Amino acid sequence: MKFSRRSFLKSLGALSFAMAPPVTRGPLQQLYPKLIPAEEIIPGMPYWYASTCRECPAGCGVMHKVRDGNVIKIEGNPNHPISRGGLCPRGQAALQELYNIDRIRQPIFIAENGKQTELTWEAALREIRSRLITGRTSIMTGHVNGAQKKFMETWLRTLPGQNSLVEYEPLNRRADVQVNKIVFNKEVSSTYHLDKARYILSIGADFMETWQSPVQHSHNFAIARQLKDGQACKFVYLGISGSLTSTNADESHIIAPRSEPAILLALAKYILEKRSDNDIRMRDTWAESLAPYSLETASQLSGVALDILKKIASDLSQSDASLVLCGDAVASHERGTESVVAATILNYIAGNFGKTIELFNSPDNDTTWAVSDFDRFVESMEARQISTLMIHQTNPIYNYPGTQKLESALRKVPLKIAFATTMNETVAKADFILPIHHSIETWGLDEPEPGVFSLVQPAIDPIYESRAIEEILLSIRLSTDLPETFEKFINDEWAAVFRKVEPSETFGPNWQTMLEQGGMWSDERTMDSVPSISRNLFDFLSSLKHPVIPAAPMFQVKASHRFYDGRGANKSWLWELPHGTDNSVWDTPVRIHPEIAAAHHLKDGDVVSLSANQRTIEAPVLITNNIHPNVIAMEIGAGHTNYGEMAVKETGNPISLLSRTNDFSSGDLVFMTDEISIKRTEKSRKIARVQGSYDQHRREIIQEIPLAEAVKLEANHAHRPIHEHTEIYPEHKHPIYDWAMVVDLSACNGCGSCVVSCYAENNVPIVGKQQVERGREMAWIRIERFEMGDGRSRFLPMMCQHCEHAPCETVCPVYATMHSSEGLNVQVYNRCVGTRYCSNNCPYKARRFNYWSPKWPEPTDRQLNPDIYHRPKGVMEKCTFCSHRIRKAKEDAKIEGRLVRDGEVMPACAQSCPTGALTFGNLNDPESKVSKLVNDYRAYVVFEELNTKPSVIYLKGIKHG
Amino acid sequence: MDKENYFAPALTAADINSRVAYSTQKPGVKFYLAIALFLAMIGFGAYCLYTQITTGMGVAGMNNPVAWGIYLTNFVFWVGIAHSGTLISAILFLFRSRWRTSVNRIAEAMTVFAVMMAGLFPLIHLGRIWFCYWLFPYPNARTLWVNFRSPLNWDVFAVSTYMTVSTLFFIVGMIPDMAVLRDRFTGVKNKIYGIFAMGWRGTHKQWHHYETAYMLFAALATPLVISVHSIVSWDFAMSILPGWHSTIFAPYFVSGAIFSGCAMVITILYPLRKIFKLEDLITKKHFTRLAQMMLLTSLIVSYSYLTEFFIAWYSNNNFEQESFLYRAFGYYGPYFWIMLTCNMFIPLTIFFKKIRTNVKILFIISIFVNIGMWMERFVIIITSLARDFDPYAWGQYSPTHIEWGIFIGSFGGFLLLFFSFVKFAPVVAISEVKGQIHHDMHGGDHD
Amino acid sequence: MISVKNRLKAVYNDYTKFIKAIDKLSGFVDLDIEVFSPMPLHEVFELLPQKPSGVRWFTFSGAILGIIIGFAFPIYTVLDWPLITGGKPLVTVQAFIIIAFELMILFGAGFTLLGLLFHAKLPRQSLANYDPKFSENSFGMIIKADDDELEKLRPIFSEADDVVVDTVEVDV
Repeated sequence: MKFSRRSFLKSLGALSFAMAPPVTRGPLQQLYPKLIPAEEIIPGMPYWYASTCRECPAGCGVMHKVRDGNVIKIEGNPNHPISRGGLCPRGQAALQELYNIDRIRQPIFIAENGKQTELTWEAALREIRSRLITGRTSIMTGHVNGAQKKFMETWLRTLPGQNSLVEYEPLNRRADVQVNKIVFNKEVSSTYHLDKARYILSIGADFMETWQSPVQHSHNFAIARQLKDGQACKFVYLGISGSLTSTNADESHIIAPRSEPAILLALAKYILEKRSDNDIRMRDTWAESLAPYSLETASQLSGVALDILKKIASDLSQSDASLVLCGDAVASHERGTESVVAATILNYIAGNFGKTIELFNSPDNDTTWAVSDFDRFVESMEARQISTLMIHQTNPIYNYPGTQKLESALRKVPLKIAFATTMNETVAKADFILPIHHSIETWGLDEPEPGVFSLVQPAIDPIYESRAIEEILLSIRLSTDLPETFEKFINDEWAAVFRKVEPSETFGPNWQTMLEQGGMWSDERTMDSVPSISRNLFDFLSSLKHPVIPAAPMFQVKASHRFYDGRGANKSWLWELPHGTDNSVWDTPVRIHPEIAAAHHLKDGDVVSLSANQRTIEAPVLITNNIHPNVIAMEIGAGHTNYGEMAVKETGNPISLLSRTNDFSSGDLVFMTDEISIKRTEKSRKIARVQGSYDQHRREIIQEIPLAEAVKLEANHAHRPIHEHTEIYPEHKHPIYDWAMVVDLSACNGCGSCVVSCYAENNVPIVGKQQVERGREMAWIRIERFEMGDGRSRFLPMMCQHCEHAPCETVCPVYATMHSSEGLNVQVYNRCVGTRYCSNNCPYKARRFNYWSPKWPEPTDRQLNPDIYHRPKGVMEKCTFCSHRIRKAKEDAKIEGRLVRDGEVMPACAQSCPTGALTFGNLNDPESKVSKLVNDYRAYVVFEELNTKPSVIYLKGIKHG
Repeated sequence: MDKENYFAPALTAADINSRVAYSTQKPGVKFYLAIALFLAMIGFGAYCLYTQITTGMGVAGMNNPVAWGIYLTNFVFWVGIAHSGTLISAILFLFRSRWRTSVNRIAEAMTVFAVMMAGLFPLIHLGRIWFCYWLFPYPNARTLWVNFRSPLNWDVFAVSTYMTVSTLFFIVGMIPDMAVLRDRFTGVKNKIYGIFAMGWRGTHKQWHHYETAYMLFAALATPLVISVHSIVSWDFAMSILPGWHSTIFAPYFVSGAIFSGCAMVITILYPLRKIFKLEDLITKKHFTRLAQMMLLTSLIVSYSYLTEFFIAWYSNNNFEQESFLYRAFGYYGPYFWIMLTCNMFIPLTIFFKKIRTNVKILFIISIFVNIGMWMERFVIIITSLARDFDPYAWGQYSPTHIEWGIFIGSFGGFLLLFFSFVKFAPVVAISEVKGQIHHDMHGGDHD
Repeated sequence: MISVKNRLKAVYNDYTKFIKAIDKLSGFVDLDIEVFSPMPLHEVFELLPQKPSGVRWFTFSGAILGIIIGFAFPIYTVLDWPLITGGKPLVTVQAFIIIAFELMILFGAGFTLLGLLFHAKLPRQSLANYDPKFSENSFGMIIKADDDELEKLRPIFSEADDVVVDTVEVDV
């Protein structure tokens, strides 16, 4: 039974469509063509389908752009309460999973000897049913929630036997729930409101990259950073190694591993003493419990100067709305839970609950399994207690430390069925591989936050012979507690949600609105009152001891900004997206401190072999000061052995070095290990880095303004100083539109969303490691990171500046590049003969030359944007400000007999930016946002002395004193 | 005026004819071996070019930021070599330099063939060479013309004008000498040389118009030669790149061109006069004169190097300073120092009479200068691009075997053309040499 | 109208004797004389004065034409389809000077060649009235004259190495 979007629509009943209200234009304008029957679809018109991103557990709302039956772009859903329109690189790269050259195209049977046979669905299902024996059935899956989880649980429950739903997700939010249980004796999750904070202290929480909900946090952080009432949020980062988030901090300090609880509790004690006005119950008990801690000890243990800690302490105590974040690597070392408990205590004492943090009890609290429980599950497989194992969206062979043990255990399971979109290491161990729908091809109901019911809806017909997992489970065996079809199930689920949220309305007519919006949610949620402290907490505190700071290097495995827990490693956009802090591509080098490098005579690119826990991997080193001398850090991503063509294999998988020791209090996976030995090998390979120098060389590309000065200028309503230029020639006029972009450097955090968005939108080809090494990457927009000299880095998105006096235009002998009447610097690909003079003469080096013919093997060609010309070899290309989007907007405006409205055109980069750093518009419209921003006192252009008159105007970053 | 006798004593007109015609004798095995070698070089170059055209520019080493590599280096190098030919035949003609007569034909041939090779490189370096005709303003269906503001288009005009004018000059200059060869031979050779002689009879009226025309050609070629290399230099100077954007580029490049051209003339003359036994016509004194010219231009070029660095320092321009520091001490520093040694220091030895009168040493110096001048263009083009405004985009470039292959191929082409010319045409301007000897013998009232 | 004339060809191996003969011949006006030499001889030009060569006018008009085209053509093209580059005006005279200069040289040189071919009557096929020795080391002259005239000239060539007299048809 094929479950297509059409049949589902029919099943919903024609009545509801007939009664659907007319779609309104306006802010929802982009969302208008919803659920149009195929015969009414106009070829060449884009249609947008709201859905939910399933690339990580955050649950951002997305819009799928469909042209002629293909999804060609994923964008953030501007109305979604989680992501607010932005989308991270990983979310956008979901398209590359959908159109992956390594997608499984039909059911596969793998015999004992490893021989693969392709089967038809009928044959595969018949075979599976015949092999089903009664006994324990387990579904081993990644984190699932909402309707899918309910379906799986119900399905398993009605099967005979002691069945279990095993959720294995190495990067999870378990710590949060565990900690709240310790501190408040409540199994609740925390929500952080970064936008309301005035002072943020992060202890290892990389909230802009991987921690919890990066898009949401980035968005809120950018709001907090805006200058309001003479204030802007200050952000301090403490961590054992640097990250994209730490480089964004106003101050970032490297601390010794395991010293986090000591710092946090010392800070808590300081605030407890300073803020006598605080309404803290049990003040004496607190004072007693925190007595052993002091800033002096913390300074000694962590290696951070006492002055710095004192400054942090006093800033924290003076701030009326601070926020302490703790997580990621810190939360997953063997004392990680202690650290998060300490951070929660600090937040409590600083009075942040109810202000910047709220607790909520979600039916969907993270239920992923502790690694200790998963260990036991592996043991039960080893003991032949599991008769059927179903593998779904998880890859423990790659990202579980006990790979060998797991492999042996899997061999003891008589029937293993993998539901997968692409092959991976774990899927390859199954007997049957059944191709399932990608989330863009199926239906679902997610609840990433309480009260946020997020829709997963298919945007295209399945591209291969795949099916929804729910369908397959039903065809393997019907369940008494489940409807007979998945359509009915999901329909019932949504109807139930609707009844719960809007009891007075009927579901049918509102279904269309939900499809348009991407789900149901209420925008206003009230914060809980301040919770009460659990009595047991003080016992917990008294049991804590000061940690032993390791004297030998420790190995830290970090979640990757690009590959998350390794799942992004089969996507070329993510490999080609430069790493946030060192701009390396197509590799995950080991980051070491110069001291370790000196001790082992290592230089950048030397391959080392790392051994721990009787396992060894090889990886090239990258030397950085931004790490503790006793920490060796590596990001997850490389080392896949069976993950398609794009995965990088020469570098090893860092997770394999971890021991299976788990955090003693939460049972979570520990992402650090002691006793790492590092050995130099004879090998060396160049780390492909796209940035030539991180020093600005006095060129003032990134400019900053001190906060105090900004406050003064803001108060004086200051404007950008106007320089009187005497031009030799009269300026050319742009009669109707004069397009420009404003980039707010105080908002840009270097996440790279814009870069991936541009790749997707403009058919920018991927060139691979070798070519990037030779300087042939094709990105039209790039993130430049410059070190500001005081340990901070700042980011600047650089794209074609569309100069009024464009140096590139004059030198082209064939007019392949010239100026449009709307102020755009246009590149005529068809006319280009490839002299590359324009590129030489571009001071911003924003032009890209096609050194090769770009290739798009099937099915990746289905992702190509048909609005964009396919550039052949020998042709120069560059950012167009998404001129096709401008054209579309102008056409729409022309039909309605008006000019393009402000905000109607959004280039792909600006659309995807989670922080809203990019603004695009018409300078001829005095009311447009850009017109106002270009006169801002922070406005400047890069290389002003060249008088190129760029149309990209930057707003200086604000520097906290 | 120069009263020196540049030729071997007691040389008669008949001697000259036979000496010059010696080279047109039936070639030996060595000649065919050499031709085979050149064809192999061309073949390799052609294969490399084919690979580049079919797979893409990626096979070459260029990248972002260094979008121009050794193709443009070769272009400037060959154009530079071309220059001394016109200098010797036109400028020295206008200055009535008497020593030019025995070397001007070879120099002119070098000009024509070097310009041919030079003209190839801007095309080879195009991303889409198959559309190279778009660079010319021809009426097309879309009435789309070229951008006359682009220095590359000035190049198109300058190089094609230069190629045309130097070829005309070359061919016109050979008319009387072709008649000499025509008259020496019978049969097919007579017919072929007859075509090039165009029915030249050497009447006093013909000589009268010929002399006027030759003088006018020289008068046109002189500003042309200066303009062409100035325009080549403006390919760089008209950009805004630090290290390129400089007002001294035109004189600097022109003198560099003459410098490298004189060196190439010495490099070619030395073996040529040996092989074809032209010692009587091309004497040590000619070499000395060429060496003196080299010395003069070397001093101008050295002065330009120093000026560039002075300006970078004096301007207090951050970009310029960084660019020149990088040039001298960066990744490409060794190339810079090779350049400086070859172009600035080694030619200073020419100040010594012993050296400038030693043909063998001059030959060795000339080879150094050739290398140095190639390096100069490499250093100017690559180092300036490798470090321009935005430190993000700094990068390095190294040529690939494809680029070297095409460079070798261009040498093969140049040498093949040159050898064919030597075998076919008079290598010394017979009538001019005769005229000068005649003049020396019978005196004249024109001096 | 065709008439018959005597043709006298005198060949000299010695330049001094040759120039002495020319000197004597220069006394005769309206003489149909062609002097041959392997190199340009300035003494001959003095003895048998020539008008300044008309090639100059070819060169001059070619150069002027080149300048006109060099400015007119780029200006026409930029106005024909106005494309703005680099914020510069359409008619950028400074840039067009270079085009005009190059075309001046190109057309000048081309016209010079035409002028030379026109005035030197090249290319031609017939090598009548010519001796291959003239391109080597001999000097000579060919005089076409009536019987009377020839008789008067005859003694001048007494020192010549070779004198040939025959009759040819000439256009009058």
